[in-house]
Amino acid sequence: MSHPLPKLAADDATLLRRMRDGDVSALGALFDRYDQDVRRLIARLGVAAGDVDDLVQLTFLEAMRSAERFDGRASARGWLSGIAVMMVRRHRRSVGRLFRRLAAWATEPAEVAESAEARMELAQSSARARRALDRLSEKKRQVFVLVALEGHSGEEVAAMLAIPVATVWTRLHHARKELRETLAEES
Amino acid sequence: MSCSRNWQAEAHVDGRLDPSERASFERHAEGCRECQDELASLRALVERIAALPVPERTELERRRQRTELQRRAHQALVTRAPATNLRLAFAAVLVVCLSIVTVFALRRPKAPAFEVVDLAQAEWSLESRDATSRVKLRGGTASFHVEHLQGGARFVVELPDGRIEVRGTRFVVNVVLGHTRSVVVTEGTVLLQVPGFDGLLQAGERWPAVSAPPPSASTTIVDAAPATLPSASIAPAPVSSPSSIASPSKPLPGPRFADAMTAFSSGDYARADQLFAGFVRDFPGDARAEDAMFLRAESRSRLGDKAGAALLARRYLDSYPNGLRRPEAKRLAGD
Repeated sequence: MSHPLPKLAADDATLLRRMRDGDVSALGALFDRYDQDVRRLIARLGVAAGDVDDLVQLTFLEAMRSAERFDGRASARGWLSGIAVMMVRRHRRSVGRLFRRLAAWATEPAEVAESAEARMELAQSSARARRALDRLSEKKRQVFVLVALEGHSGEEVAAMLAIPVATVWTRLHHARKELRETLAEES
Repeated sequence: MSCSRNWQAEAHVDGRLDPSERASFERHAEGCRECQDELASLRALVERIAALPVPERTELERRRQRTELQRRAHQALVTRAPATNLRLAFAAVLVVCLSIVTVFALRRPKAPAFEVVDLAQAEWSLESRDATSRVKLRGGTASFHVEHLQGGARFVVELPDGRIEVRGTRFVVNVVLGHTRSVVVTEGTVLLQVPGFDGLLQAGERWPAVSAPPPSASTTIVDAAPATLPSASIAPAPVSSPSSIASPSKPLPGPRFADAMTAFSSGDYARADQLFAGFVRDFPGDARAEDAMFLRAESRSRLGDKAGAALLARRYLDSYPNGLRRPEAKRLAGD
């Protein structure tokens, strides 16, 4: 009795080609492969927890819509990251988000009370790191997250953000400087 | 900070040092406490920020999100998504208005140059509107030679019972008593629509499959063609039976569309073209007809038939002015 050959997983370029042809199952396969990365990136870019999954959906829907523009590189991760950054940027500028931020600002509880439970020191340290990251401008934060945390190259990030590579390094340098200064102040 | 090379720590972490600089800095750092501290500090910063938690999610939630994503993607493929973001809709309208103004102000597609030869009592008239030239052939036999079209230029022959659209070609049309009797293509590609046939004719093909050769007669030249015209780059296709598309064995649209997609996905683009053509013909009101029409154009493109792909893409754009595949169709049409 012969056993069926194992089905080879399609590479990213093949999945994108199939998505371009309207194959929704290929979109599902791409989601399985990169959903975690995209989700983590969007959260690190400062999107509120309640909005992260929505933006992940929008990122992959946009990937489906613009699949023909994928340049056929071996990994779609960088391309998806670029789309995610664009989605986060649009999200920040939406009118609805402005209202939600205003509402959240008006009712935001004190963090100390929230972290006053067990493991207070770790929670406070995490809160300080979060505040330091939140205080970065969007441009510096994008570069820091994409290069330092997500591991993309300077050239990849320059292409994603449509800026010169030298600007990537400059923003990264200032992002690190600010983060260190903010964390030093808080501690 | 007293070490003059401390600034290289960041460049080292970022991978910006070339191999010799990297090796030099690493040798230096082995004996420099300050640079070692800087490297450690840079690493610690990343570790601290990277440790920030990502919102939690169960596997069940992840699967639900996957299902929802696929549902939304499928919905977007078959219907037009309503504009729910007023700001985006307004920006889109603004961009369209500016584009129209820009196109008219800066670039008008050149009207195509063509030649009509009256072979046998041809009754025809010319109607040109900007870059779209239309010739109405009411009767008789005429030979057409159309210069290769540029940009958004179009050339259409209106028949009493159909139409022909070309991209740069030579062909002969015979019309008798309000009925198109034959179309013979000697160069290029035409898209022919008449009762009983809707498809492409390549150089060397004719519709219907067997037809009397047209007689010769006088010549009428319109909009004098340049001395040298680009020769057709399309190789004559094997003589087929353009008017006969294989009768479908499955009457329902779902299986018919699935068969066509299977052919397309497996790379059998010639068969996919035939099957999509049959689907559009038999189920013009089906939600997948738009996709089928576009995928015909894409199939021709992948077969290397750029002229045929452009014609079919142009038909898609006419049929679905707000279609989901509009950007891709415009690319295939050469706009």
